[in-house]
Amino acid sequence: MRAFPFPDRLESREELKRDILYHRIPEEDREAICDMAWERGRKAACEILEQYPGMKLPEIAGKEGLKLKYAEEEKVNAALRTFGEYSVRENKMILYQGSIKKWAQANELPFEEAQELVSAHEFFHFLECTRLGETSKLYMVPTLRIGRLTLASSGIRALSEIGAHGFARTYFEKRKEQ
Amino acid sequence: MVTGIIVVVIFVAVAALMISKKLPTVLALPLMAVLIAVAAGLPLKGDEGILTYVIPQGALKLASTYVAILFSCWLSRILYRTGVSATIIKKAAELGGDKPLVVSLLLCAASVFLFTVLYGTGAVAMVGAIVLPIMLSVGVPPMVACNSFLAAMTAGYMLNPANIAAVTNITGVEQGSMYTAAIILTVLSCIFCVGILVWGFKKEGKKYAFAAEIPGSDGEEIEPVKGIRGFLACMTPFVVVLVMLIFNLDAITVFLIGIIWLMIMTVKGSWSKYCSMIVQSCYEGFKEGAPTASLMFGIGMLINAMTAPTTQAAIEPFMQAITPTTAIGLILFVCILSPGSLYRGPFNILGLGAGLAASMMAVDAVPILALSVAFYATLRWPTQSCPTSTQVVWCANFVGYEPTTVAMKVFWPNWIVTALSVVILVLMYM
Repeated sequence: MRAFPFPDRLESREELKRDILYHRIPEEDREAICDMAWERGRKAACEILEQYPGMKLPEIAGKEGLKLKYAEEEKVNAALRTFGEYSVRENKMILYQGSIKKWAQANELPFEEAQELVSAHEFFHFLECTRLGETSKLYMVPTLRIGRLTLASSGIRALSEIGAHGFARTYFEKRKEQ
Repeated sequence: MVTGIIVVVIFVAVAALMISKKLPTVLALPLMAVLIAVAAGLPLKGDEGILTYVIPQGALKLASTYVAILFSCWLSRILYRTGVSATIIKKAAELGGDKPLVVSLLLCAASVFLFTVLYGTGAVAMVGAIVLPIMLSVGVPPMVACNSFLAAMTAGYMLNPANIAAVTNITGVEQGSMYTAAIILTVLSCIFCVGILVWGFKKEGKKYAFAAEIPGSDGEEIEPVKGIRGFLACMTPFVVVLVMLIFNLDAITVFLIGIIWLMIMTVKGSWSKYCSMIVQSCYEGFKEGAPTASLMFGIGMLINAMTAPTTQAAIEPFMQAITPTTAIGLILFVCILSPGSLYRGPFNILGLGAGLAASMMAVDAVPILALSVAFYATLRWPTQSCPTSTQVVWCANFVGYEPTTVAMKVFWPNWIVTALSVVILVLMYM
């Protein structure tokens, strides 16, 4: 995955490789579950644009009751650079403009557009938590087994990110068409 | 009495120089040892001479402690290079799956387990570089990730044979008599760690983030250990602690047993290549242990300066006046002054506190064991969150915060946990 990712369907599969449970997913399932998550994001974006034709994402978020906060900082540590965040508890999206500026430059996009795309990514997580259900739970892998008995299983967190990339990318393309 | 006051002035002046970063601890401790020796009227040569006793014998006084620390750092390096540490951490994270709190709890449990044998900032960086990115990627707030990891590391450290050896060599108490205190401090630190995580998650809730890895931050890919031998290699920390608790052996011996155990469980491929890795790990480990070992030279000198009969005679009236004689007195004394353990201050037994501990013990007003465990309890705090501790600096920088900000976030909870542990331990041992 690039330092400033704006992946398409194929590139988004890289996200799965970073998941801690990647090695537990059977190889034959990997591509299919990535596509399933991407498709979910794509479908959600089409529905939202149909529901709110011609509206920009901050307005859509407002209509949906999602709070938005713009932070000027570049949120970065030794491991990660964060562009946007969605807090379930506060029902709030935070956009880190310092990081987004760099993301916009790397992807050769105007800042305003880049900011809208990052917010689209976070908006998908909001949709997951409010109406779609968690994308990560679409595919479960056993994490603790004794013989054939599965004692614990887990969803794949990366699927949620792939879904969000699918949402943001579709939103970007459809908005251009509009 | 006057000499006692002069010694206190020297303490305060050197501490101030250390805190203001005008003088590094590694220089401050020998300097203080010499200044105190001069103030107490120790001769230059002779049985308690500055040039014949305080400096040369002081530098060797804690030899068994710093050799144990160097061995521990050697073991840490082998655990890293054979992929054992990474395997333990990644298995814990896999078990937690997509549940951030469970992942964090399991990662912290793995860190506690590892730090019962790992030692030094190098080891903290090796483990932290795997644990912290996983915690951050599952949505744990950076401050919570940093402080919970440091609390987990501290919990492991409390049971680490090298740390127990450090305290017992300074205070002179029997190693075996410290085990219960070490276990209690480990348990309290674990509870503290869980508290930080639960409180952090309750306050911040679940979070999703659109984030990307910083290029080059993923480190070198090390092959994980597998199979029965791999599992047994992962049990190395357990083996080391068990050997220490059951056979009550010296820390150097238990670490050496750990190294041999690990070698048996991980040796594969070309023997000469494997041996070269073991030797390389030894050199790298010793380099990582050097900062702590060099502190031990100064601590030994300080202890010798403080415990020389002439010094003791000079400062005894003062020490008798300030040293508590009852359990309640000791509890209040240590609890109130325990923030003095930060910045390697007068309550940090691996800093200026070595001198204070030695002088309080010489007065013989309270049982030495009770005093030892009280000082060990205060050591937990700076281990976890002293802004000048290199492990705290590394972790804070990693998550993008100032070390002071990270330390201050848990200042009051740390004081409470320290006070609680002092109360429990002093009442148990007095």
